[in-house]
Amino acid sequence: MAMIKVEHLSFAYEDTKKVLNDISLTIPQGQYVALMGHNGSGKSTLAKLLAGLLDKKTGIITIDGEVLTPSSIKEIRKKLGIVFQNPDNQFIGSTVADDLAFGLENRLVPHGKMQSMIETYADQVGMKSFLHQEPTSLSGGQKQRVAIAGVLAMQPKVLLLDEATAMLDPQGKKEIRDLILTIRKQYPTLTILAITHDVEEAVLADQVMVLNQGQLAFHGLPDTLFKDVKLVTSLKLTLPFVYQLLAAFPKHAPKQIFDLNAWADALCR
Amino acid sequence: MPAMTLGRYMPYDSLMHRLDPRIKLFAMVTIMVSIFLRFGSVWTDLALYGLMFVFIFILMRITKIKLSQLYRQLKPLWFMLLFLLFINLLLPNTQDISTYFDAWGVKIYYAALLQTFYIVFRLVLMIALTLIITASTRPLDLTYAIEWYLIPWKIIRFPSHEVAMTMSIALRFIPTLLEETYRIMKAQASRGVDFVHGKLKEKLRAIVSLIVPLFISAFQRSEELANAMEARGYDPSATRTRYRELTWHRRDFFALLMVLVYLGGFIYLLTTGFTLPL
Amino acid sequence: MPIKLHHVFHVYSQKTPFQFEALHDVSVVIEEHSFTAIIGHTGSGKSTLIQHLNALLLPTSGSLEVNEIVIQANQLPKAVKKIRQYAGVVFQFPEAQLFEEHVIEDVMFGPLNFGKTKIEAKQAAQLALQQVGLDESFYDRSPFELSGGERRRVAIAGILAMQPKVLILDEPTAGLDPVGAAMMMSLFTQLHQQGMTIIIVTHDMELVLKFASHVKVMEHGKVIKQSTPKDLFYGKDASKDFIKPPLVQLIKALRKKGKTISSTQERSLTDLVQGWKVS
Repeated sequence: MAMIKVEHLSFAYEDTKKVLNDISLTIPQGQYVALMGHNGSGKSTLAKLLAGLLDKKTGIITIDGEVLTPSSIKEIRKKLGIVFQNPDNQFIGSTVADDLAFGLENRLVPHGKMQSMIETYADQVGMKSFLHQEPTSLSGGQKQRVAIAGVLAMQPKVLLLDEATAMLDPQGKKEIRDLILTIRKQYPTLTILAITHDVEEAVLADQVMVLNQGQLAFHGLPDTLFKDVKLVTSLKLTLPFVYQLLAAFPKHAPKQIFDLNAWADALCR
Repeated sequence: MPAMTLGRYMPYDSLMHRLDPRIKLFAMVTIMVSIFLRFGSVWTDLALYGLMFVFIFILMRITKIKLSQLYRQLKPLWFMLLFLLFINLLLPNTQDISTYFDAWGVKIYYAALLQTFYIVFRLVLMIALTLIITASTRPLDLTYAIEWYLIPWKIIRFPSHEVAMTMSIALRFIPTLLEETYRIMKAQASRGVDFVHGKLKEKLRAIVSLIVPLFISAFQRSEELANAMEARGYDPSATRTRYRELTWHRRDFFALLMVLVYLGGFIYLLTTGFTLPL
Repeated sequence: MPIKLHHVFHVYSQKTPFQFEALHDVSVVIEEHSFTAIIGHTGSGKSTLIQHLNALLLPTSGSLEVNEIVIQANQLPKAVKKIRQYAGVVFQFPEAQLFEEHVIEDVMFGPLNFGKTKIEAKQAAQLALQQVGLDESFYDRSPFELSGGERRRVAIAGILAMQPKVLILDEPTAGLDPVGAAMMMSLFTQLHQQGMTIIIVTHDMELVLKFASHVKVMEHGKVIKQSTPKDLFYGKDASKDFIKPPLVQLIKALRKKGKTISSTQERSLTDLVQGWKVS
């Protein structure tokens, strides 16, 4: 069952050339998809369109069977949670607890239920002991974890991450990568769409989509993409380390290409 | 980055700190109004003002504020107060020119002196009151109190909840914006900007190099915030539930009682034209 | 001239309840023409340290020497402008500092502040923009209509136009995509080859491995280790404190299994492969 369906989507900002040109794709429920593309490929625009933050488009976007229109966006927002790139500019509450409460307040969750929900979801992202902290004392990674918890508390069907790790340091990036894997185990039916340029993140996804100059240039397994060096270069992407090894030493590839020790073994033979 | 306190909130644990912010706001407004009242005679005024001063002093001690802190608040104003004194002495705004004394050829009217004293006294009391409230109340709690008082105005379509949301977001971002200001100042200083010395033209350029980036960043920030809030289902005009609720305790009842007695007392004194037999 | 720090301490908010010692007895020398990486966890004092190098912050005790000008504790040197021009500091997300209406004017801002004439400043700005890869078509555009990556390059050009001898960068690749990050690093490599001293504060160990000639490790306000990337990653007492790049892990595993890997192969996969094919 398609959770996200995009049909012949095109979009241009005011009097510039098309940023998205006739894009069609489907994402089934429960899949973890990484959407990549060079700067200016249109991936952020696509994210904004899916989130209903941009309007004048041609084509149809369907989320969980419902067509996205200015009148249906409110309902759809209950099913699609977004985490944006800037950890500060989506942190609304004065403390972690207040920020988690913000979404609950919007959804008219009764006051009595709020505290336990806040604690539950803060715990799921490892931020339970930070409930009274102010955002200025939190790292970027911690703020993004709070953002994710805020989305999870809405029990959405889709988690959309719009370059959520772009502004984080390597430690923060790792925190979020690990958290996504944890979330997948806990919510197997949750559909995750991660817009990213981090190839180490992309290898973890079920499927990778790559945009190039406004068009969908690749849709398939990360492994398929990263084994095609020419394609990766033409799409202006980089290779994850193990795929660079694979390209350099094709005949020595171990069975488990992500195991560096196995590589060492293979290379010594 | 060095840590910063917001406003003058001091995290002690006093009775004042534990009072509901709504009653504190009500008390502050009531007492402030009372400071401006005038009674039958000068001595009545002075006596009652003296009483107010003692009352406020007690409140200060309850809040664990030291006099030195009040002094520090007043220090920047000394020049203005001196200026006020001179203006009032040289250009008296009073009909009572009967009593005066001569000082170096200038007529100094007692009435003018009194007038100045009133002004200074009221200023000191107002500042002391503000200090008490801000020291004992978290800024966010103050906005909750203000919001509560704004709710009735929804009847005339006043956007009470939106205003309250704006206030609490502004508060949340003050430390962030301050940090950003420091960062931009440092970046521009690294490009040779001197914010302190230099001719007027240079100083203006310096300020522009600080304000423009701050504004640009503020606009971008607000757009991203608005998107995030919208994406999380925020609708300014819709009903929302509340996480933080203000709870009324017994001590708040007593405080309210005290304020009402205070208010009632002064109204009584005013309407009966109470005058000290002096 | 090398930059020298002698027993530098820096305490924030002295005599308040928020007093915090950010630098503790730091004595280091940053070699001229080096490509020095300063690493350490958040809060280790890295940002505080680099702000001393151009006298944005003054030591609370101790002293330092930049361009042969001595900066004493709590005393802003008279020649502070000379220092700021000599040691150009680029902060994290430097695009936040752009404010002029046109790109060329913003890049000219720095040199103008340091006393250059309009013509000199314009020339310096044009050269700097060329160095960061932005051509004449960018000169009259508004900085605010450019992409994030382009704005960052304009900001860096703004510092390069000051013609500093030392370039100090705080996480210059933060927020950039891999292609943009690579372009940025190759710019710094080029500048380094042209004689500039480069100092980079970073969390990115791959960057340190590939580009740095010297590394200073900071922790709790102290410089706890001064060495080279080779030493830091492959040495006997290599710290377990930070995540090692996968290349390092691989080479260590290979060496354990008896494979000889020379030091010319240690810094990038390309180097490893090149040396391999030869042997």
